Amino acid sequence: MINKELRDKILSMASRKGSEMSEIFFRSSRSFTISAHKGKIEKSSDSISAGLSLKTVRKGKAGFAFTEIIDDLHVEMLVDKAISNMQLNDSDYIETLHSGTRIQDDSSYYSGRYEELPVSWAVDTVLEMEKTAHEADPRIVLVPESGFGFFVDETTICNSQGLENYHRKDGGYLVVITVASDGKQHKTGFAYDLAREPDRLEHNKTARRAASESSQKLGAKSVKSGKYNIILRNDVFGSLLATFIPTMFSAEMVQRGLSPISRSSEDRIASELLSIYDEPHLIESLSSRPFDDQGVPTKRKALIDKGIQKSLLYDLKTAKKDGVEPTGNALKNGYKGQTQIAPINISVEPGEHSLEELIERTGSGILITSVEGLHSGAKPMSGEFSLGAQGFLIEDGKKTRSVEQITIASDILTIFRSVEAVGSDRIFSLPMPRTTITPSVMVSEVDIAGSG
Amino acid sequence: MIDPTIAAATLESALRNGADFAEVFVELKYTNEISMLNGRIESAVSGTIYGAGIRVFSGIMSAYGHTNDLRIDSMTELAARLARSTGGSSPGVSIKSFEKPEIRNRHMVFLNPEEVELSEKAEIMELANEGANSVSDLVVQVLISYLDSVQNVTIFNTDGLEVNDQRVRTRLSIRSVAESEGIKETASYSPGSGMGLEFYNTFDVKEAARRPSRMASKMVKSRHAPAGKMPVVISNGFGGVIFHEACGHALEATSVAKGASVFAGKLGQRVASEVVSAIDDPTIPNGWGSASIDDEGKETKPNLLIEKGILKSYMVDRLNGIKMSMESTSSGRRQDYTFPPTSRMSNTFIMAGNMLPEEIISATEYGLYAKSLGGGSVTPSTGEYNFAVTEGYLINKGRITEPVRGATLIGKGHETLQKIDLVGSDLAREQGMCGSASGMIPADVGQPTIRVSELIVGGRS
Repeated sequence: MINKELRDKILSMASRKGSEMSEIFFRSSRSFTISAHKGKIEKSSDSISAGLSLKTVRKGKAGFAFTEIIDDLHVEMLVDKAISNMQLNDSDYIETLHSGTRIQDDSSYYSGRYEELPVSWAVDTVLEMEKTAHEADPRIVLVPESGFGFFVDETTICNSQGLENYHRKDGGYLVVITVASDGKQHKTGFAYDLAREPDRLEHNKTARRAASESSQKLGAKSVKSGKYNIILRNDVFGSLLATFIPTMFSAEMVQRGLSPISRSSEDRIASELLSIYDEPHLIESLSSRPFDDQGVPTKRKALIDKGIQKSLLYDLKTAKKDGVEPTGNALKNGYKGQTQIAPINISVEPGEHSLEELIERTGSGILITSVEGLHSGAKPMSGEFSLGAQGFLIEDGKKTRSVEQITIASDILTIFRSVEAVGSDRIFSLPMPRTTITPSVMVSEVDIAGSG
Repeated sequence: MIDPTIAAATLESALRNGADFAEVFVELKYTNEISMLNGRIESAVSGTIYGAGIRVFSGIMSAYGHTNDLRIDSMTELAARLARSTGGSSPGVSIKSFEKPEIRNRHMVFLNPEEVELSEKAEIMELANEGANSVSDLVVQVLISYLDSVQNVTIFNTDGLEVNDQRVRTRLSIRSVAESEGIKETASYSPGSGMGLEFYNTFDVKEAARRPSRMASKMVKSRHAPAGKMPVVISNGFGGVIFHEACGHALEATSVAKGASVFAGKLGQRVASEVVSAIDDPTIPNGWGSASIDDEGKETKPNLLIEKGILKSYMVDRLNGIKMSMESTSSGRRQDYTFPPTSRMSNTFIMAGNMLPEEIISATEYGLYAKSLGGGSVTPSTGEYNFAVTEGYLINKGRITEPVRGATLIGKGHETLQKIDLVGSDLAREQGMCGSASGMIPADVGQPTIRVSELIVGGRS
């Protein structure tokens, strides 16, 4: 937490130098990682970082600065830079600060269990996980990563309007990467697990999942270009939503005309089988939080309900413009930079079918198990994408051979409208930094390019 | 930035607790980021980044930690904790006195961004905004981002090294959005350099800013690229992202040392067609990916990777060098003090051949001309890569014909390198940000115009 003396010093200096309202954001984090390679601990890291940022506001214009040095010289520099940046600003948005509800939460998303773990627990876990991955299948030739990590984050936001919020959270995860070979082809597998408490992490299961993922991919070939019925596996559907939903539902992007959807809610934009929520309080998600990075309490909201467009995501300035309440979706990356509008946990309502049932219903098509190049091949503003992909051929209602060297091209709204069935197999993603909780979905008639 | 006696005490604490090598990396970095949307400054953020990263080795085992608290107790405690975690039992030799090597600074800076008024930076952005808005009525939004940073680093290690460097960088990014009949298309161009503000006197900012507007307004009127396998001619400059993804990442020791690269064990062998030579060169004066020393304190030097198709060298950092019994190639880089360094690219490009770009086009019966590319990614252990075409045209009977949009190109790096059959003479480099194990770092990609005899084009049928 930030001490009161420093807080008062910064706020009063900012006010003396011309800021009408000022806000301090303070974050301190501890992170620990450890990895095994070839039966030994290969590397570990253990770090603490802390920093603070200042937002100043005058006549509706904001300025930002942050620092990792907290001495007299740099505190003054912080204030001076925020003020100069504020003077340069001529945005047409009216900036303001949040006052109101005081939230002090150090237990909802914090167990403290990870910090108590002896290092030997972590060492044993990653070593055993690597061993299990190797032993799971004779075709595993390499386990480039067998790792465990945890984090503890503490966030304080306080401002000249009386806001004083604090929360603390922690969480841990396992990551395994495997390489399988049949002498002709190499294929990688990736698996992870995550949990609020260490005893819920399943390291042997995770290792076997990665091993089976890479081995099953062997014998892959491309397919003939054409339109296919496809299944986007739960994790792949999650990656697509994490790429498109933030821009699509950001009130700022919608207000600027840079989203593929418009302001008007109650339009049908998806198949009635599809419902998507932002659910910020799910205990199992490592992204969950009680308030956003402007101090506004977070809350559950529907983005798409049975195919109908519902709420947008708002921060303070965009809510003011549309004359609505902010939705608690102003997020930033640590203490650096400023907030961006984004969902916290993108959660898709599960359907009734297992993945096997979806495969059977598809009859013939492709099960997509990974997509690559989301940062370059996807265009969130238009919704269009063309991505490298891998998966499995579906023939006669069964998963058959492995598929590689294909691309999948479409746009997200067409995908939403073409959802024909939703799976029951929801999976929590790693926080990257958003979490998705998504099932597999069956989608009709998607363009696939291959070598034929 | 740090008292050398604190650095010495930190290193000694690591040695006393079992490490056989230790390094302290101290960073003080000032950053400015301004964004302008449609001519209005939307936001400006300034930052001060300050901290130390401590790295210890025991054999090939490594541990890393970082902190913002650079007082002696915090530093020596962290070093001891890291050293103990490696389980090593070095005899605890003490370090020799620090020696500062003579490092030649090839990257002179004349207008330090920290000494230039914000209003002058805003003027450069206004010029760019004017340029981008002077192309077509189809352009509906123009976003200009301006970035600068001054990074001061000091590196100490138990070999007795003490070395300083200052890296100044500035970059202007212009993104234009064009809209036509309900379709939106964006294009961007982001020139950057290891110079100060004098960079903006080396080219016509207004003219440069027209480029993304021209691209976006052309692409928004185009149909989707076709799907399937075909010859692809890739333009010079940012086209070099194909080498960066298809080959560069898999030549980093990070993957090679583990055998997790398709190029592991292939030194001296033919890995590309013989028209291909490629280099990683961090010494280019004021280059975007240049520096006088790498982030392990080693003076940088050019590294010829492929010569006429034969694999000559990997990019090697200190730790992977120990694992591979190879010398570091001054390729240890990191985003900042919060990351341990590892082998990374700097300015990496395919070298010039001797065909004119027009000759390459006219030698191609049918295919795709990828005039401008976006980013991409790769899995080094399988060589499978992808990258996006941001401005594309069809080639028909040796001529460039209609524009096409939205294609991603995919392939396997080791196969693609063998399929580069024509190389032009028009070498150019462009600036990118490269993300990998040690964070996001500035890196140049580059190449002359090349042809790949076949690639999978991820369009629509």
